Amino acid sequence: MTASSQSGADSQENKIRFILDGEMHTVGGIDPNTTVLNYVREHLRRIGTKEGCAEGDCGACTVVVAELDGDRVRFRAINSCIKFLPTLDGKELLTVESLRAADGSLHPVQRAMVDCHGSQCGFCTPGFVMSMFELYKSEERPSRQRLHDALAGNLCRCTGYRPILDAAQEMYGNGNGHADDDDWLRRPYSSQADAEPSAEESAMVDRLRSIQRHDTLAITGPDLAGGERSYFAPRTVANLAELVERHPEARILAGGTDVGLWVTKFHWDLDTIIYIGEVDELKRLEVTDGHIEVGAAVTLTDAMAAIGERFADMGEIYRRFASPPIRNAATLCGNIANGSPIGDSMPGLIALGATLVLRRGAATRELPLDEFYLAYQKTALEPGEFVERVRIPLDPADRQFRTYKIAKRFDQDISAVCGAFSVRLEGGRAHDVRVCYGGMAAIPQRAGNCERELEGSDWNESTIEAAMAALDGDYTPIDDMRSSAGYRRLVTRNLLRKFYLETSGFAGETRVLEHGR
Amino acid sequence: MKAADYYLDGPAPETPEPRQRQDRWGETRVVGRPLPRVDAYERVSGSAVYPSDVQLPGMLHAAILRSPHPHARVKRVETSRAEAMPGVRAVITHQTPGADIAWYTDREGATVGHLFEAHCRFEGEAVAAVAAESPYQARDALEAIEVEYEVLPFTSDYETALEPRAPAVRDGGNRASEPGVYERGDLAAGFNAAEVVVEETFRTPCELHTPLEPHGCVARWDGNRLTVWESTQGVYPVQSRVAQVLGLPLANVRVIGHYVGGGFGSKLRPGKYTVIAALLARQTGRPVRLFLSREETLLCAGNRPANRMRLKVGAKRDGTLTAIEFHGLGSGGAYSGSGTGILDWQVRDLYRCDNVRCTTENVYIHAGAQRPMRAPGHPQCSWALEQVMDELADRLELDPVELRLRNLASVSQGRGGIPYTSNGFRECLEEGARTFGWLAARSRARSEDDLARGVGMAGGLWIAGAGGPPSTAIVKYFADGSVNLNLGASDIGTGTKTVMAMVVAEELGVPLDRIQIEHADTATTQFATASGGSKTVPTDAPAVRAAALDCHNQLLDMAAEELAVAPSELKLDGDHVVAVGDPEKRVALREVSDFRRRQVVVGIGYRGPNPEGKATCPFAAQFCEVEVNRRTGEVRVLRFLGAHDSGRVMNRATYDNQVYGGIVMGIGLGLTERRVLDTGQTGKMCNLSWHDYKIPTALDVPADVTSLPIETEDVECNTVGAKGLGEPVTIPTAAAIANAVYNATGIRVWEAPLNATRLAELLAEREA
Ligand code: FES
Ligand code: FES
Repeated sequence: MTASSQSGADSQENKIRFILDGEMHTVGGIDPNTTVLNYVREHLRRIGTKEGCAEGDCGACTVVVAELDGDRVRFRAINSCIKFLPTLDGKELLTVESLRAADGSLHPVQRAMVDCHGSQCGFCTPGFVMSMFELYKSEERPSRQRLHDALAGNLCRCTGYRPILDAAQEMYGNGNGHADDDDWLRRPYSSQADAEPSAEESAMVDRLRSIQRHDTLAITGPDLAGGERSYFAPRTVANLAELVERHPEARILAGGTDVGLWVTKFHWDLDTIIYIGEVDELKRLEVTDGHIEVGAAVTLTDAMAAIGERFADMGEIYRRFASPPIRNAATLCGNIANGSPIGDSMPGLIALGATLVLRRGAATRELPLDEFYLAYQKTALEPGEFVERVRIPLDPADRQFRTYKIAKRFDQDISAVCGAFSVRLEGGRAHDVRVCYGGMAAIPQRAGNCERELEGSDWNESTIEAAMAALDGDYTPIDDMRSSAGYRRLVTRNLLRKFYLETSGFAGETRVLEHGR
Repeated sequence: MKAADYYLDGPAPETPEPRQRQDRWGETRVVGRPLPRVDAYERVSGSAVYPSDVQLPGMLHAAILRSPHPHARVKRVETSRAEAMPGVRAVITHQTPGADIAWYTDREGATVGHLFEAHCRFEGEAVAAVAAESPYQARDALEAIEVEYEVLPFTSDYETALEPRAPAVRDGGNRASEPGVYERGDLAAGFNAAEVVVEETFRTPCELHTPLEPHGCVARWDGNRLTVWESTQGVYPVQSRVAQVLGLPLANVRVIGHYVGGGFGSKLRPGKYTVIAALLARQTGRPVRLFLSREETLLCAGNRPANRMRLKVGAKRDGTLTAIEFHGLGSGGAYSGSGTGILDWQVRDLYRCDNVRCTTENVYIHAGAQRPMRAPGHPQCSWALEQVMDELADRLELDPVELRLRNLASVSQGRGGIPYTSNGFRECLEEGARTFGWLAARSRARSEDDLARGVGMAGGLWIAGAGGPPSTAIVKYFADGSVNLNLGASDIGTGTKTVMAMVVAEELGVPLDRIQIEHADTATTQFATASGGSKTVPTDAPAVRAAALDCHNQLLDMAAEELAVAPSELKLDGDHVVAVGDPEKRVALREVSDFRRRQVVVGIGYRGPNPEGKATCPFAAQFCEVEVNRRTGEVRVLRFLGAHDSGRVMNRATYDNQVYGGIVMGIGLGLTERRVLDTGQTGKMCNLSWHDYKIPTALDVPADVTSLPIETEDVECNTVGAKGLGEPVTIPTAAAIANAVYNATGIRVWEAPLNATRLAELLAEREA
C-alpha cells in the first residue's frame, strides 16, 4: 500500500500513466504484479468492480479500457482480475463508477438493466454493465445471437441471462433522444453518427495522445517481502529483442490471460516482466495475397475477425473459444507460445499449414506450427527467443477446410476433441491432405496414418471408412474429466465423417443450430 | 420430516398472532405489477456495498490453510516461519488458546469435531489460519506453515462406501444413519395389480452452488461487542451460531447482510470462516476480512449431494399407478448433513398412488459437506420419477401429459391425506401444454439426418413453500407520508425488498419511492429466519401487510376523531382520509391533530399461523424442445416453458426472473454440472474452477424461455395468497430435457448430467 498516486500532468518516466474519468492518473512505486482489480478496489476504493474468481472465468471484474486506434478511440472489455496495472499505461480506464453522470443519473446501459430486471443478487451486474457498455460503444444494434456471444464471458447464477439479454437489446433505445444523453459516452455507436470522430471523441484522442510514450517504459516497485520487481514495456522489436536477451529469466507478457493466473492463483512472484503489447511491429495484422500475418501483440478478437472472415470454421471455433473479455486481452501468439491447453485453434492452424516466425536478437527463423510443439508444455522456443508472428497461408481456391470442436458446454470449454481437416479435391481425389486433432494426445498432432490413407485416394465413402479406421493407429487417447477415451475415439472418427459429408454434397444438416434461428 | 428443518438451527421462535383483520385482496393496485426493483439503482450503479466490499480502517486480510488430503491426521503444525513473515499479524491453529472450539456435532448434539480439526475428513478441512496486512501476504504465509500429515486411506465414492473394505470415515463405519423408511398401502398387492412395470436405476451428479460472491465476512470487535458483515441469506442464523460457539450474549453479536451475491442455500448459516475471522480479529485487535477463494467455495462450501436412485413403478393399462417403490442413496459428506434429505418427497406426494414404499440410505464419505441447494432432493427425484413417468407413457402409448393428468393427487398423500390449500397442478399441465404447443410439437416427425429434434416435459412440486411464523415487521408512517419498513429478512436477489415495499404501497397508497427499507441487520431489525426454501414471500409478506394495516387502522382512528365519523366508515385516499359515504368529509393526514402531535405512527405486524390440517405447496410443469446431434451427442436446448402455480404473483417481473433463473440452473444440472472427485488415486476434487466446473453461460441458454404463471387463488395459505417460487422453478427442468432427448433420439440417459460423451456412446451402441 505504499503506492503513490496523483492526478495531474507531472509525470515521471518510471510511473504508470493512465486516464481515469477524464483525468490523468499517475502511479509510481507499486508492485508491477498488482492487478487492475486490486488497484481499483483497494487503492481507488471503487468497489463496484467485483471479484468472483480472480482467474478470468466469470467476468465479475470486467472493466473497459479505451485505447487509441489511429485517430479514433477503441473500447475493450477486459477481465481486470488478470490484467496487470502497468499495462494500462497510455490507456483510459472506465469502471462501472465511470458511467454514472455527475448528477448521479444512470447511463442508458444501466437504465436498461433496471427496466429489464437484469440484476438479481446484483453481484455479476457491474461486470455485465461494462461488457454491455463496450458493445454499446462498438456495435450498432447487434442481433440477438450476437448478444448471446458478446455476453458469454460474464457468468450469472441468478437471472438465467434472459433479462440481461433483453436489457442489452433495450439499451440501444435508451440512448437516443434523452436530453441528458448528449454526452458521447452515453450515445450508442452509430455507423452514421460515428463516421467521423465527435468533438468528445477527439478530446479523448487528444488526452490519450498526451500520454503515449516513444521509449520503453521501465518501472520498478516493491514486492511483498521488501525486494524489488521490474517491468518493461518496449516500443520496438529491436528493443524487445534486446531486453529478452538481457533478461532471459523474464516472463514475456502479452494478453496476460495465462500469466495473470500465475500471480492470482499460483502466487508465483514474477520478478521481471517484459510486456510486448506496446511493440508497434507486433501489433500489426496484415493480409497479403498469400498470407494472413498476425503479430504477437494482436489480440484474439482482432485475429479471429481476420481469420474467421476467410475460414468460417475458424471463426466458429474462436466464437466458442474462451470468453469475449479474454479474447479482448489474449493474443493468438501467446496462446501458441504458452502451449495453453485451451488451444482449440491449433489443429485448425496446423491443418491450414501455419508457420511461426521466431526471433532472437536480430535473427529470425520460420518453423511450421506442427514442429513447434515437442511434448506436453514443451516447445521449440530457445532461451532468449520469442514468437514474433504467425503466418497463415491463404487458400488455394480449391482447398476444402473444416474444423470442429466438441466440448461439454458450447463455449469457453476445453474441448474433449477438436479436429481440423484440409484437402484439395481434384478429379474426385484428395490431395495435400492435412488432418490434425487436439485432445487426442498431449499436444495437437497430425494423423499420419489417416492422412496417408486419404492422400491420392478417391473421395468416397469407402476411402473415408478406411481413413476412419486408420485413425485408431494415430492416437492413444486417455480418459479424463472432460471425456472418455472411447468417446474421443468415436468422435474423432465421426468428425472425419462429418468433414466428408460436408464436402461431398450431403444435403442434410450436420450442425447444431445457432441461437435465435 | 419438515422442510423447515434445514434452515433453522433450533425450534423456531414464536411470534404473536397478528392483531389486524386481513381481508382477502380483491383487485390489487400495486401488487402483481412488473415494477422495477426498489434497490435497482444501487445494484446497477456499482454503489451497493456487499459484505465482500466492506473496507474498514486498519482491516487485515485472512486466509485459511486447508488439508490437501481427503483423509489425514495432522501430526504437527509449525507456524513460526509464517509468523515471522512480513505483514503477518496472527497465525492460529487448534493449539492457539481460545481457538479450540467445538464445531461438528452428531445428531444427539455431542461434539465430534473442532474448528481446526486434527483429524481431517475431507479435502479442504481447516488446519490453520492467518491474518496479514494484504491478501497476498496472507496467502504466502499459508505456504510457510509446515504441516506434517499422516495420510490415511479414503472413501470418496458414495456408491461403494458401505462395502466392507471401504475405509471408515467415522468410528461407527460409513452408515450415517439408519435407513429411512416410508410406507403406505400394500406394495406387493400394488405390483400384482399392475399391468405394466417400469424399473430403472438413476444417478444425479454432485452439483455446486457457485454463487457469484464467494462466502465470507468482515469481522470487527468493539470491546466485547462483535460486528460481522457476512455474505448470508440470513443474519439471525449467523448471529445465533456465532454467539453460541464464542460464548457471547446474542445482544453482543451484530450481523449485517444488506446485500448478498447469491447463496442458493449455501449461505443459510455461517461457516467456519465466520468464526475464524472473529477469532483473528479478537487476537489482533483489528478488523479482519476473510473471504474464500473460488477454489475454496467449490471445494468445501456446500453442494447438492450426488444420488443413486432405484425406482420401480407399476400401472394399469389405463395409466393408473398401482405401486411405487423407491430407493435412494447419497452422502452429505463426513459429518451430519444428510445425503438424502427430502429426496423421496415427490414419490410420496406428487402422483396419486395407494401403495408406496421409499427407503433412503445415507453414508459418509471423505468429501466436502453438503449444504441445502435450491430445492434439496427434488430435482434429483424428478430426474428419476419424471423419466419413469415418461417411459410409462411411452409403453402405454399415452401422451405424457395425459398420463400425469390421470394420476393427479387430490390430497397430500405424504402427509397422511390432508388437503392442499390450493393445487394448480392440473392447470400447470394443461395450460402449459397448450401454450407450449405440446401436441403439435410432439407430432412433428423426427428428422432423419444427423440432427434430431424432440420435446419433453416434466411435472413437480416443492415440499415447502408455505412459509409460516415467525415473522415480525414494523412500518413507520411519517408525518409527510413517507414510510420506513423494517424487517429482518435478507434479499438474496429474489426481490424481497421490492415485493415487501409493494405490499406496503398496496395498503397505504404510498408510492414506492416514498418507502425506505431497513433490513437484514440483527441490531436494528426484527427476527427473521433465513431467506431460503421458497418461503420468504409467504412468510414475511403477510407480516408486512399486517404492519401496514396496523398503521392504516391507527391513522383512521385518529382521523375518525377529527371528522367525528366511525373509523369503519373511513378510508385512506392518498394523503387524505375520507368518509366512504360522504366524500365531502375528508381531512388531510397532516391536518389530523393527533397525528401532528405524534409525527409518526408505528404499525407492528406478525405472521399468523398456517391453517391447521392443510398443506401448502407450489406446483410446476415445464416443457422444452431440444436438438441433438446424433453423431456427436451434442444437445442444444431450443426453448423452454415453465408453468408454475405459486399462488398470487406478487410482482410479475421478479416472478419471471425466478422462472428464467431456475430453468437455467436446471439446465446446468441436466447438461453440464458435476463435481469430479478422483475416486481412484487421490480422492481429491479435479474441477476446482469455473473453467472446469461448468455452469451455463449466455451461449448455453435457449433464446426462447417463457414464464407462464398459473395464478390459482389460494385464500387459505396466508393473507397475501402467495406460495413459494424459488425452488419449484428448478425442480422439473433436468428431467424435461432428458425426456426431450428421448423423444428426439429414442435413447434414455439415466445418469445426469446428460453430456455429449454419454449420449454419443449410447447412440453409437444402438447403431452398432
Ligand atoms: S473475477 Fe472472475 S473473471 Fe475476474
Ligand atoms: S444477478 Fe446474481 S449472479 Fe447475476
